[in-house]
Amino acid sequence: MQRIRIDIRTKAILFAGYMSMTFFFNDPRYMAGLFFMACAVAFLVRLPWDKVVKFVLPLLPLVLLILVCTGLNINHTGGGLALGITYAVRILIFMLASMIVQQNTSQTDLLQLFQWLKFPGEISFLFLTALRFIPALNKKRLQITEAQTARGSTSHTGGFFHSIRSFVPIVIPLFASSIQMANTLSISMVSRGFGYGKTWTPDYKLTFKALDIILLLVAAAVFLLAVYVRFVEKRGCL
Amino acid sequence: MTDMAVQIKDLTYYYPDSAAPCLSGISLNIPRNRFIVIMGVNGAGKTSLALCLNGIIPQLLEGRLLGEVRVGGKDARKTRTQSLAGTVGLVLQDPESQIIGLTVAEDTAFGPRNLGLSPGEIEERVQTELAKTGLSGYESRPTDELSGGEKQRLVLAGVLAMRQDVLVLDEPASELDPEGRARLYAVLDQLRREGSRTIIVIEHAIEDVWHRADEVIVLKEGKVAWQGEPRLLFQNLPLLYLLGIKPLTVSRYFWPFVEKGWLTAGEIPLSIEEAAGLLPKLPVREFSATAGEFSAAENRQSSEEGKDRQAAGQEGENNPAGTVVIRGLTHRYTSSVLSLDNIHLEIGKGEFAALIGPNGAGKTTLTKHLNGLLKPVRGDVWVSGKNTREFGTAQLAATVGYVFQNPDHQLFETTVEKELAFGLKKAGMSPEAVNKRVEEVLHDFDLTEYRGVHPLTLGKSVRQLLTVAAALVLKPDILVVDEPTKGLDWPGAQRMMGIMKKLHREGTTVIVITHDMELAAQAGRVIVLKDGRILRSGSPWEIFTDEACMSSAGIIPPQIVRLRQLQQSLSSLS
Repeated sequence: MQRIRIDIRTKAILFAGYMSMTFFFNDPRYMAGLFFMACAVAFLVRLPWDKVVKFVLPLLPLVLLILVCTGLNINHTGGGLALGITYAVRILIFMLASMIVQQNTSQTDLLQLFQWLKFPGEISFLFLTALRFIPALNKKRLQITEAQTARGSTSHTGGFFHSIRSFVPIVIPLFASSIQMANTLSISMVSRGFGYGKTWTPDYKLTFKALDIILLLVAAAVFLLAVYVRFVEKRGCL
Repeated sequence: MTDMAVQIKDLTYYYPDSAAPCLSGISLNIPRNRFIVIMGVNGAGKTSLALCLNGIIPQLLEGRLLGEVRVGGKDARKTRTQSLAGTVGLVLQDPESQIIGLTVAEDTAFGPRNLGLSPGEIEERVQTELAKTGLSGYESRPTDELSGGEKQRLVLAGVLAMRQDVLVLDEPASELDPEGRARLYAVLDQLRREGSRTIIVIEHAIEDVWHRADEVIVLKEGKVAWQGEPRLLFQNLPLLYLLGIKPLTVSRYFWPFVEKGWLTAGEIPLSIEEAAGLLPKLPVREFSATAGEFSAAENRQSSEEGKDRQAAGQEGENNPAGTVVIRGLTHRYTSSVLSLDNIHLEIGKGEFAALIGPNGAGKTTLTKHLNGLLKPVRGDVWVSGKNTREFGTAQLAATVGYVFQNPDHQLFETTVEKELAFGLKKAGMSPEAVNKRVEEVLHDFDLTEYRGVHPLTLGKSVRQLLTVAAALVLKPDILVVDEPTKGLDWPGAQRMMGIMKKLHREGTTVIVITHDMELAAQAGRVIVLKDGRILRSGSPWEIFTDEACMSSAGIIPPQIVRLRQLQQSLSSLS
């Protein structure tokens, strides 16, 4: 997939600004507009939709739960269902926007950003290794679940408490494997000089290019428009 | 500058809270630019020794360390591990846990960046080391999309980018298929030709190292039990048995001639080529007779296969317990590529079948259909007459026992006893019946002494054995074991094979997935898979002598088969 060639600071500002806008409004129509904006960007950067579906599917029950619970809150002005839709769409927007950023940002970009923000190196790496190990741990979780199912473990029967108990055979090996992986990772990182000096060699120098400036100007205009609509015109609220 | 790459004097190390030392009084001098192999059974202290070389012990893993360790003239106890990174590099077993970058280039550049090198220098190192490890062109590829072999070569590239003098590799190929192993050792050969590094490899298998090593060091119970030229060790079979190291098949084949006084120990061959060169020295008739005895003993088990085997029928429902019938099985994961393509297979009751083939051939995907972990996209699978479409995996647990590669994925209870009882309780058995069966299994698997021990504190071979025992408590008709001997030392592997052969003799259908061709040669039937299709199925002899099939699947036949070919050609001459 083609990565967008824009400065990481531009990406961070666009992401933060866009996320803020999702909190300005709670009218589902406005949220739908923001959602389509995210979809358009996802389309432009050629986000792999199969990955999006894989990412979103496991969270769908949570989204539906929020929708139902908020929907039942009939005392809310303008209807609980509308607010439920807003919350559900907001979660979908978060997922989509995070995926767009994640798929188009390299580890080096993120490190550059953290260094620019004067984050301590250890914190930056903590965050980055977490990103690297989420898929690895998920793979482990699937392997452990299969191994325990093959031994006769079930998680779908016997009521709520049984379901909770049935996670024990999965959580304990997962926990043990995570510690083992973390141990190997720390040995590997230190063996490759992690912590040798206070800084490390940046891959490139951060520079704003013409595209960055255009994007920031457009984003600023959209953001100001959103502020105007929400706070001056007082629209977009249930 | 000292001529010694590594100098160790009276090294003794205790892990925290441990009364017994893990390493005891080790003294070694390793000259520069040598290829050193460290061997020994599991728990002998090999990995601990490797971790002492770059200061991980005692700087990161604490404990009590006595004695002196110097690498490239630097004191590994007092020099920060990070500062030793340019002197000594370390590659561990599991590549998955050693990759830090999201892309290949990022990961390779990780070390040089930590050293604060210039971007130009980093780029040069990344390109050079990726080329050396056969990963040129992979720079922007996400690391989680690489195969196991590629991942381990990436780890090696990342370590080589530090340009150190000493390279330590701890069982680097233990997670790889034969092709991955060959490619990794090809990289080490190239490094050796460059002649600028001391290479220290920890390895269980002699096959990959006997012709590469300048010197072999064998550890036993934390001490140096043997040190010297590889030939002197690998030709001395009684010593290998004593040290728990598996001899080469070809050496075992010729050892009876040493006992008969026809050969000296120094003439014991280590390769087929050497064996062929020895033949003129041996009386043909006697050679055939002695070699025949060996062959018969090696293969007694396999020749007995199938005697009482009940063939599976055409359709599964009326088939007896222990049979597997697969008809037109097709499976695909999310991508459009078929992971199994129209598989037809029958495995009779009491058969011992080995599934072999390169990584990604579909071996695990196929066996996961046997206990319903995967459901067929098309076709049907019957196990003991049950169609797996109609049963859940938990329901099939009493029919198909499945042991996965990593024992730690299955163990979670606080004692061995509870671990064994888990499946029985899940099956709804009474407490009395559970206790009775647990006692039986503890006895059968020789696990009684460990009954109250936490499973995760046991050694790898006992953990592996426990997972097999835990799968067998329910007395399944069929046992599937994925890589039963992976990562095990020879005594552990022999114990595991002994258990499987015993189960097989008792009538359990045993199906193993393996990259170990010596193991596959002991099965009654070998099934070769490639690209989701069965290339061929037959006796080990039929399969391993089919050159086209072997070449297509990228498999090197085991030495035993090549020896038998040699024996046959000799018999025809006589």
